[in-house]
Amino acid sequence: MSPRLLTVRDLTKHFPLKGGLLGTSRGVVQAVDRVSFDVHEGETLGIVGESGCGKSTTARLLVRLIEPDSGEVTFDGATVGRRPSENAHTTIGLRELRRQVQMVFQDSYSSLNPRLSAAASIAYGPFVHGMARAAARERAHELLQAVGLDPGPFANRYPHELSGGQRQRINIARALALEPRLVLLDEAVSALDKSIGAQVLNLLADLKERFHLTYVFISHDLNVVRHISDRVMVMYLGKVVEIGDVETLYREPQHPYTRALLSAMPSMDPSRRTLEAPLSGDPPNPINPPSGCRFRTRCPIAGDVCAREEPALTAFDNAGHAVACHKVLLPSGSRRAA
Amino acid sequence: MPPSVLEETAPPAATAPVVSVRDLRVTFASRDRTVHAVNGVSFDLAAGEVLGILGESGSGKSVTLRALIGLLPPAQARIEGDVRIAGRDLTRLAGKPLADFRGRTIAMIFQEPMTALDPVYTIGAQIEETIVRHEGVSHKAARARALELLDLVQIPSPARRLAAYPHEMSGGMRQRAMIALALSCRPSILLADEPTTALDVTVQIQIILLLRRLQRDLGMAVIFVTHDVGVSVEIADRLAVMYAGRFVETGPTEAVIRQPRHPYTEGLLGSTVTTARGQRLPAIPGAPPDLRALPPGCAFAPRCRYAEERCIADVPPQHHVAPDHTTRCVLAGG
Repeated sequence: MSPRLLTVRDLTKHFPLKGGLLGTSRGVVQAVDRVSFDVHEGETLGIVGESGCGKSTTARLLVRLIEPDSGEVTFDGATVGRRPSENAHTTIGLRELRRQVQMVFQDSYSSLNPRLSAAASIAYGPFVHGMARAAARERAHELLQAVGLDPGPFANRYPHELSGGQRQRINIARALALEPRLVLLDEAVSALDKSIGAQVLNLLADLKERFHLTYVFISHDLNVVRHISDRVMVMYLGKVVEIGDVETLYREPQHPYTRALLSAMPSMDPSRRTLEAPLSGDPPNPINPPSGCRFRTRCPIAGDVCAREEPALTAFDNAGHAVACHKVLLPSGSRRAA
Repeated sequence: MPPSVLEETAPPAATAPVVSVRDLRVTFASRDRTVHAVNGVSFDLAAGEVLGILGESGSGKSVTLRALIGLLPPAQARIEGDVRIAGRDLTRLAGKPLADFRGRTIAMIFQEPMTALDPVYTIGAQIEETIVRHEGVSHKAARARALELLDLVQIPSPARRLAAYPHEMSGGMRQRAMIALALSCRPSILLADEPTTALDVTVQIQIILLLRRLQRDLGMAVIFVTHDVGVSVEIADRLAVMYAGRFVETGPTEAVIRQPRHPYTEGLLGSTVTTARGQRLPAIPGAPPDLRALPPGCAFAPRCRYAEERCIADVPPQHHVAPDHTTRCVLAGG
């Protein structure tokens, strides 16, 4: 396997809920709770889960758009932040981190400055990072070409003059302007129509090859994640419940939540419509998650142990497939913590 | 234009259709521009039938639906054509007769229950008010019906939920409450405008299954608008694929999905990722046309890889590739 580009260990973010007359705390949203995973150089890691599972917060924590409560992020061997850890002796500052790790958001309109033309938006980053104005502008034109927009008509257009698909191409070009190594795509094609989204997915595949990129691809669309990812991580209420190779995970999901999620996908076959919903009710509120395993309140196979103990993400095989479930049989045939 | 609008529709069913639309056109005019949102839609809907209208943003699917229930702003929208709902010409209704008609004969559910429900009244009060207004029964009787309705849409502890405000419910529960409200006067036709789009996938399938069961048990005719191929497959008996304000393909769901006969349908199904990993998606190039200035011919021709000279000249008429399967593509006509 290729070397680790990004290492995330015990990343945690709890948001206090302020309320009442005196602004007293009414509880804590455990948005991301001790999340650990690796991203390997050159791969695409898909992150899936339903609203409130913490997938977008995770992305924002990775580029420090939100400051984590605890946990450690290592980029290419260097700890993010000031304090080096025991195993990593170097640190990487935010400025350098954000040069190497860029992000594309879902809302193509609100993520562009309405007063900057397409070329100016793309050139802004390189300019701030010390590139001469003319060179930055030239770079913007190259990138417009790379994302399939002719600089002639498009360089001087403003966001409101562009379609959603075109705006998202500008956002992608801007993300690539600083020659990053890792790009976080947070629902980057979710707001686009299917026919336009397919074009952007093809573009992302081309750019990845051309610029040797690594992607973290966050989406609620399970079909799209299967198409683009090498590995997939499934989150539920701020926790990683399963991670593994995309085909293994889609063909043989182990965690009961992953199974439910995949079987809730609408059937594409009119003669095999879904007959029963795999789960009832909505995902519980992340303010007061259930004790032990957070999925146990909706889980068809939950037992006593699931309320008592929180299941750890444990290796299921030697190929990097890991599951956080007390009830999942290990390949040795033994049940964990029965 | 096709020679006769009436000729090209399916042969008349044994019973009269509950919805009959002929050459529906909707334009939105303002001082400096005119947007052609719906450009000649004709179809019949039989009692108890589920029609799925599949299309992308701006295809005119929601505008078509709103035209059927008289929800378009009269000051801006110009509606032409013939719309008959349960035998009555809806375009000629206004004021109280229109209000009587809505709710009892035809009802609608929306994508966003939070904006469709009134935030300052409880769910129970909203259902009760609707029943009293339409059926003139006592508040007590209406309240009993409201309880039955919440039970019908499978809201747990319905008695307690009657006293809940919309903001106190989760997204899935609000959607169920909105369905209960729409069904409160037993409409024979239900219009659904992307009611599962804003929901998570595990909740979406619950709502689809609920709607399917209610449709069957109550024998309602349903028009279900969606952009999601998978959702339309789960719910619809018949599909109409919409592009630039026209039905470009109609037919039984199975036939349209398995043997699409319009290049746009083919492209839409290709863009819906089911292909193997690592392969390129057969995406449709280009973007949908500007509805202010539609091309004179087939609106899809500029993006179509099969387009020929004759595609640009005139809007292709509807061809029957099977008795119940039509496409607006010259290639199907030979």
